[in-house]
Amino acid sequence: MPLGIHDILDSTLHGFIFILLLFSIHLICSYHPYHRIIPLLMVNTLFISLSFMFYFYILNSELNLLNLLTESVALSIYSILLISPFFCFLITFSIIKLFLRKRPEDALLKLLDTI
Amino acid sequence: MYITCSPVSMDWADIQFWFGFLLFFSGLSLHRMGPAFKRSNFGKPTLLMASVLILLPSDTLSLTEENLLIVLKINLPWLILFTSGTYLVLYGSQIYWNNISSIKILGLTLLTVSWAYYFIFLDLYTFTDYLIILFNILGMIIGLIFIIWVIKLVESRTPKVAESLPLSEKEKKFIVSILQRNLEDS
Repeated sequence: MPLGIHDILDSTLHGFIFILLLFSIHLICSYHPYHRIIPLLMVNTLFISLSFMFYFYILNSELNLLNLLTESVALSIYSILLISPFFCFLITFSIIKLFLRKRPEDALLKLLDTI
Repeated sequence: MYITCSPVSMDWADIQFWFGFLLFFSGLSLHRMGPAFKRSNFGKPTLLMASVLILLPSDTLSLTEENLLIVLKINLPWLILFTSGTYLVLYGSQIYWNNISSIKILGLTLLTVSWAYYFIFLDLYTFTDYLIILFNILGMIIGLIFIIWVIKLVESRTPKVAESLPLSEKEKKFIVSILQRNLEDS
């Protein structure tokens, strides 16, 4: 089944919303006193709202907010699971390199001897 | 693979499932915090609790959630094998001249088994799925670029802090003692 422009926009927007949601969760969970999260959260919330509006008014007016959120997360997790073997392949390659290499002498330990 | 359905409300099992994901992402963020922040201690328990909530639903899930759970359960064995294998190889590799070859070999074996499992059991996706997922990944990349741009914008408008003074002799000795203690332990 060929993909239409509607499906392409739909899928891309799901990915965009998912990343913005993750970023919001990360900002809230990793808050510390030296972190200026208010401007980041405000811009993030603004763009999430704009994405929702774009989705509801242009792409699909039948879905509700809850469906849009769950579908965005579900599709994005599918995508991450599908793309993960490619990253795992790179990790395997690095692991094999690590397995075969011999580590050179540590410069930091040598430096400590001189102090 | 991916079926859309549009329920008006959510059942308790679905709420539990999505709350599990919310906890999972929160747990990842907490876990990534540095040791200076005591909240990082809550990362692993939160991740564990989230996994239980996601993988053990209290009732029958709706279609979207059920499909996602099935895909997760199919992918879980090879991901666990792969992660354990990678961890064991890294754990057994040379750190300051200590090399644990048996653990490395066990890790490599697990990695091989994980790839064998993946190629034998996982054949879930059609060409259209790949296309949909490709555009979804594109959306995520656009999102990441956007986040980097926003962070850069906010950071550039943050007033700069004065440059810190160099370490005193006492501080230098203290840092050297910490390094020596840690390196000798390993």
